[in-house]
Order: sequence, then C-alpha cells, then structure tokens
Amino acid sequence: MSPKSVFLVEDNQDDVELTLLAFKKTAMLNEIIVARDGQEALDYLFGAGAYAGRDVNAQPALILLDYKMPKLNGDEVLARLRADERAKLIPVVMLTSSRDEEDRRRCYTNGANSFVCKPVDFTQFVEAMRQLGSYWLGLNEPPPVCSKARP
Amino acid sequence: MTRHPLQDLSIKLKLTWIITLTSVVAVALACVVFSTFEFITERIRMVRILEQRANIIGVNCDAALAFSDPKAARETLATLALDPRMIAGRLYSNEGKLFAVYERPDEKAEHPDRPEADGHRFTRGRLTATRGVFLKDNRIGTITLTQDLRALYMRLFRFLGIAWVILLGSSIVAHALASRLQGVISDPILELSMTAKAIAREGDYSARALKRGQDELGALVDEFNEMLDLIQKRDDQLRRELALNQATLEATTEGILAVDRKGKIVRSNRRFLDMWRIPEQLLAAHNDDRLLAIVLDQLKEPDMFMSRVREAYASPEEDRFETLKCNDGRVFERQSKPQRLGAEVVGCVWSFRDITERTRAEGEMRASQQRLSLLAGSSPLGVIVWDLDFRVVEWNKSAERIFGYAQAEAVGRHASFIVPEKWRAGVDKVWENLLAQRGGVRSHNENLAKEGRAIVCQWYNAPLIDSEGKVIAVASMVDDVTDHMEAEAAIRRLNADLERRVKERTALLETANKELEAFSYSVSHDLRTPLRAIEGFSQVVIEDYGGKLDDRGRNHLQRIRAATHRMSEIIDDMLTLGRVTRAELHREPVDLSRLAAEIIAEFEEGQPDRRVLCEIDPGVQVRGDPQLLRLLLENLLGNAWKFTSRTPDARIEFRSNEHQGRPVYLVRDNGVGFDPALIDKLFKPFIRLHPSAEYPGTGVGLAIVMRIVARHGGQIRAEGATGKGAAFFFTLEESIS
Repeated sequence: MSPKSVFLVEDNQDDVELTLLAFKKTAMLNEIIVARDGQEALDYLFGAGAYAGRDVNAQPALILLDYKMPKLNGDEVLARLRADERAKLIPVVMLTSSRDEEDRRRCYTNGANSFVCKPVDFTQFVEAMRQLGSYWLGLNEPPPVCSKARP
Repeated sequence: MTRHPLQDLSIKLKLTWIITLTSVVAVALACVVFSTFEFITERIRMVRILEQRANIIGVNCDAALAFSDPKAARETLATLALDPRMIAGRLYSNEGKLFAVYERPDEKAEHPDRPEADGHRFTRGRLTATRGVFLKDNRIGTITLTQDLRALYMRLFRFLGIAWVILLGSSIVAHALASRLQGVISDPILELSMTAKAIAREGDYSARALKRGQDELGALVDEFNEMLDLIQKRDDQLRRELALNQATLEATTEGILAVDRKGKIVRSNRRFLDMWRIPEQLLAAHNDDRLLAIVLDQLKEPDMFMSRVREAYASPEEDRFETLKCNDGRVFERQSKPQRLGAEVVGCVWSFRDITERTRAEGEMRASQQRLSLLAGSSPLGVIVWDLDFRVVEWNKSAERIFGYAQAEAVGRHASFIVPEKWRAGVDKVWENLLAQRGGVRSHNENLAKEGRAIVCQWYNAPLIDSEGKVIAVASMVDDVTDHMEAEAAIRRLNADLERRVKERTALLETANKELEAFSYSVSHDLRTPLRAIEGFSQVVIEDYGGKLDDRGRNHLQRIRAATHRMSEIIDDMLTLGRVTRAELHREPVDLSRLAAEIIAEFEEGQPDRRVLCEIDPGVQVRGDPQLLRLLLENLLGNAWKFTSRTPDARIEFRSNEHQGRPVYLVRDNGVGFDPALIDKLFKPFIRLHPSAEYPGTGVGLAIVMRIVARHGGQIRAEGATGKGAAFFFTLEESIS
C-alpha cells in the first residue's frame, strides 16, 4: 500500500465508478480503497469483521465519506470514527448530493474536516476531486500517526 | 313571727347551750327517776323488815302471852331498844287489851287501848306495822311496832346529794365538750359567713368557701360556691354590658342624652356635649337647668322646643321625632324613645343627629335633580338618580322600559331591588368608589328587571358634586346590553369553533409540511444521484469514446448533459422554494441598500463587460430575516440584471417610497418587461414568460420572492409592459422608522 491511500465510502456503484474515473482523470496515483457501506468502512478502519487482522496502524490518509447510505449513515460513521483513538485524527471529507443545512451542521459537529457537494456536472466533479486530492494529499500536513502518539 | 329570746345569740353559744342543757336535763331526769325508785323500794323493804320483826317478836312473846306473863313480854319487847330506829312496840292480848309496851326513852308514844288492824301505815315520819301473834295457828294476840323514818329520809337526802353532784359534774363536762365539739358544725358555717362577708365587702366574686366534708354543710358550701360562680358570671356579663353600652354610647355619631321620668340627666355622651357646646363641668355639677338654658340659647325656636319637651314628659311612652334649627345654621334631628323597665317607662333617651350637611345636600340635590330630569326625560338610555342612601330619586322613561318598573314603583326604593343577590357585593363596591370619587364610573353587571327577568346592563355613573366638592347624589345612565352580550357570546362560540378548526388544519398542515420536508430531502439526494450518473457517464463517453461517435452522436450526448444540468437547476430551485417556505424567520435589522449594492457588485464581477446604470436609495433599513431578504433581492435584482441584458443603456433602480404611511420598496429595470395580460402567472412557480434560450431560468425566482415577502407579512405587485421594463413593488410588515 502506498503511503497516502484514499478511503472511499460510497454505496452507489455509479458514484464509485465516477469517483474512480475522476481520480484517474486527475492523474493521481494514490491507492483508493472502497467500502460499500458504513459498517464495512468501520470494519476496515478498526480491523474487524471481514478485515479482522488488518494492520490498523496503516490507516488511509483521507476518507471520502458519502453522507446518505443505507444501514449506517455517513454522520454516524463519522461519529464512531471520531470516538475511536485509531481513527480519531484521520481527515474526513463528506461527499454528498445534499446542501441541507441540518446535514452540514451535523457533520461539522461530529468532526468532519470538510463538506463537499458533489456537482452534477462531471467536469466540475473531476475538478472538485482534483482540488480535494491536491489539498488533502498534497498541501495539507497530515496529523501525527495517532496509534503511536496515543496507544 | 315571735322572736325567740335566744335567737340573737351566736350559733356557737346556741349550740353549746343546747347541748349542755340537753345533757343536764337528761341527767336530772335520770336522778329523779333513780331517787324515786330508791325511795319506793326502800319503803317497801322497811315495811317488810318491820313486819318480819313484828312476826319474830310475836313468836318470842307467844309464851309470855299464853301464860300472861307481861314481864317476859316486856323483856322481849325491850330488845327493840337494840335498834335505835324503833320508837315503840305494843303487845295486845287476844281480848284486845294492852299487854306489854316498849317505848324509846326519848319518845313519848301514845298507846291506844285497842289494837289496830293488821297491816301497816305511814304517819308523820313514822311507820307502824301491826301483826297477829299466833300459837299453833291460834291467834292469841296482836303486836304493833312503830319505827321512825329518819333512815329513809337520810338515805333519800344522801341520794339527792350525790345526784346533785353528778348533775353539776356532768353539766360542766357537757358544757366543756359542747363548746369544743360545736366547732365541727359552727366553724364551716362561720367560715361561710366570713367568706360571704368578705365578698360583700370587697366585691370580689372570685373568692370561694372551703369545703370541709361531704355532709349537709359540705353540700351547703358547694351550693354557696355554685351560687358564687353564677354571680361571678353575671357580674362579668354585667360589667361587659356596661362597658359595651358606654362604648356604644361614645361610638355613635349621634349625641345621646338619657333622662329619668323627672327629666333629670342620667347619662350622656361626649358627642352630645360637643353638639350643644356644653362644658363638661356643667354636666358634672348636675346643673340641669343651666344645661337646658344653654340648649335653648342656641335654638331658633326655643319655645316650640320647650313645648315639645313638656309634651314628651307628659306622655313618655311615645316615640318622638323633631327637626331642630340652630341659630348658627346647623340643623339637628331629635328623636326620643322611652326607656322601659319591663312595662314601666322609667325614662327617656334622646338622640340628636347633625343633619346640616344632609339638609344642604338635599337642597342642592333637588336643584340639580330638576336640571337633570329635563335631560333625562328624553334620553334613550335609562337615567337614574340615587340619593346618598342609594335610593332611587329619579327614574326616566327609558329606565321604565329597561327594568319594567314604573317611576312610581321605583322612586324611594333601595338599589338592591334591581341587583341580583350575587352581584350585591360588587355593586356595593362600585357605589363606595363612586361616593369616595375613586372611580366606579363605568360598570357592567347583571341586573334584575321586573318579574325577576335577568338582564345585563352597562352603567355609566357620575357622582353629582356640590360647590364644595362633596357628593350629594349619583346619576347613572344605563343601557340594556343583554342582546349585545348574547351576540358577543355567539361570536365567542364561533371563534372557539374557528380556532378549533384552525388547530385541526394546522395539524394537517404540519403533517403535510413534514412530509414535504422529507420529500424535499429525498429529492435533493435521490434525484441528484442518478442525474450525476447520467451526466458523468455521458461526459466520460464524450471524452473517452468521442472518437468512436459521429458529430450527431456527440451532439445527442451534449443534449443529455444540458438536460441534466437544467434538471439539476430545477431541483435546486425547488429546494430553495421549499426552504423559503419552511425556514424559521429570524428577524433582525437589515440594511437593504447595502445588501442591494453587494449583490449588484457580485453581478458586475460575474459579467464585468456589462454596463448597467444602478441607482440605489441609501440607508433603507428594515427588520427581517437577512438570508431570506438577500435571496429576495438576489432574485429581483437578478431578474432586472438578466432582462436588461439586451437593453442598451440598461438601468436598474432600488428605491424606498412611502404609500399610506407604510414604506414600499421598489426594484425597477428598463429591460424587456412583460405582457401585462400575463401578470397573473408572474409569481407562479415554474412558469416562464420568456424563452429560456434568450433568458435562462427555471421560473421559480419570483415565486421565491413572493413567498419571502409573504413570510415577512408584506405584499408584492408588479408593473410592466412588453419592452418597457418591469417594476416590482413590495412591502415588509415591519420597518425601522
């Protein structure tokens, strides 16, 4: 795994593919790991369920989290991440179709680092992904590795 | 009833003497009985002894008699000398001849020749016994013995002596005992009497006699104490009554004078003295004549008063009533009432009341009444005038109509005849306030018309005030508002019903709103996602597989993309419209001028090559939701900006005017305008008056504007003509003046 992987949590297959396509068009080479729902995302991050035994010290550099998902909703996943030492500091960007005020409030309250509304226009979407990637994976200084800083 | 001589002696002495005398008499009686018995017994014994002795001497002398030996007989008789009590002894022969004699030497006895008959007799201190002398049952003679009774008498005397000593002794002992023991009876009585005396002396009825035992005296003490209880209670009561009487006498505002049958002053109060200006010393000196003179001095018609007073004394049992006029203008009302003790008239109580004020008030009232009745007669309202006792003085035609009582029935009656029981207290309060000039000017209450019909009346009351500012009467105007009240009640019922229905509708609306919210939310997410897929994949096809398509195919894909863009816009606007409708309104001061300038600046930045003349009235301040107001101006100014895009010398104005005292805001442009015939469709969502190819848009903007204005409680209207620009006038309910 490359040092700066991106963890995409998205239930909609179309969106997954479009996101992967967008990333491809931005020519970013970072590894993209996909979880198809909230529970899978948590399992992955905490090395549980199907991902039991995964090295949880090797966490993704950025989490792109869909807001509206079946089972566990985006903000619930966020709340669980933030409550756990192992995933507490990982930057999380909420990716959603909604601009709903209440949703935004909830996400920021639960510790989202960013809230991005997915543009319908694919060109704009690619541009958004490019900016996200260059900012969060390039410009932005990542948090100290949390599992070592706080056992 | 005759008085017993011992009656005045003390109980102590009486008791002592009664006991002593009783004992002495008893002892004396005993002594007499014993002495008599002893005397009689002794006599019988003496007789028996003397007869036995006669028998013995007879036996001793029978031989001498048989043998006619007088000497022997004498010797035998001579043995009698052994007993000094024996006076004489005579022995007779059978033939009756004195045979032998014995005589005590100091005694000269007679010796009858013939013997006495057998038996005994007492003669002058002597006892004589005569017995026959027998020899073998043959009587041969008779013997007679005589003895003196000195022994008997001696014995009797001794006996009497002892009895006397006993009598003396026992009487002394009895006296001593009696004087000691009488205390048992007399002491409680004396104590009782002492207690009674002490109470009588000191008047302290709380003292009680001490009870010593359960006998009759104990019972007497109990009864005495009970009696004291009763007296004490009565005494207390009497004192209270007296105090109450005195207090009442002083508390009254009337001057009170109580006289007895002869006209002598018994009691009077302070007020009486004050009224008649009588010095207190005069009353204390009981100088009734001087007092009367003072009173008469002050009266306008003293002779009339005197004759009335004389009349009053002549027939005291009658109540009397009179009005007195004083020289100084004061007017008193005098009333006299007989004071009765049982059926007897023992005096008379006179009361004087100062009615100067009232008399004057009555005079003034009559005058104002006349003025008022002129007005009252024709009033459609009931006009009622009340005197200070709350009695009807004036009662006009309308009052007759409202209450059903004719004037003659109503005048003189106390107001309570038209006030139902439960309203009395409230009405009294209004009345008090009126008299005190503290209000009560308007009142609204239930009243009673004739035959108990309940009506609701509106009262307008005014105290009638004399020149000195004193209330002399109260005038009321009254309106029967029963029908009005019923109408009001009906309205209230309807209102309540309406409110209930509004509540139901609101609940329904709230439910609908919630559903709409959920729907909007769902739309924002779920409609966009597939749109994005369509758009995204179309783009990918164009970019990655464009080479494999001809121009026509690429064009179709571009059309798909354009359509999705439009749909995305429509979704956004729908959501905005929903948000505008639902969002909570946060009112705060907003500077519309500044907001408009900012928005125009944004437009200019977006299209820097456009030249538009913008005129914005400065300092337009309102209170409203800043976000919604921004949206409002964005849309209105945005329209103006958009529809002037093909107009040379484009001009946009934002102005604030005033219409009928309310601020009206205006956004005007000189753009393409609109067909006034279509003005109805202007504010409907998703309806456009211009082809989107020329002027892009979804047709939701003005619908949003209208909702924002409506949510602020304002109104909006549009003016315009095709090619001549458009103007939008709107108001916001609140504004900063």
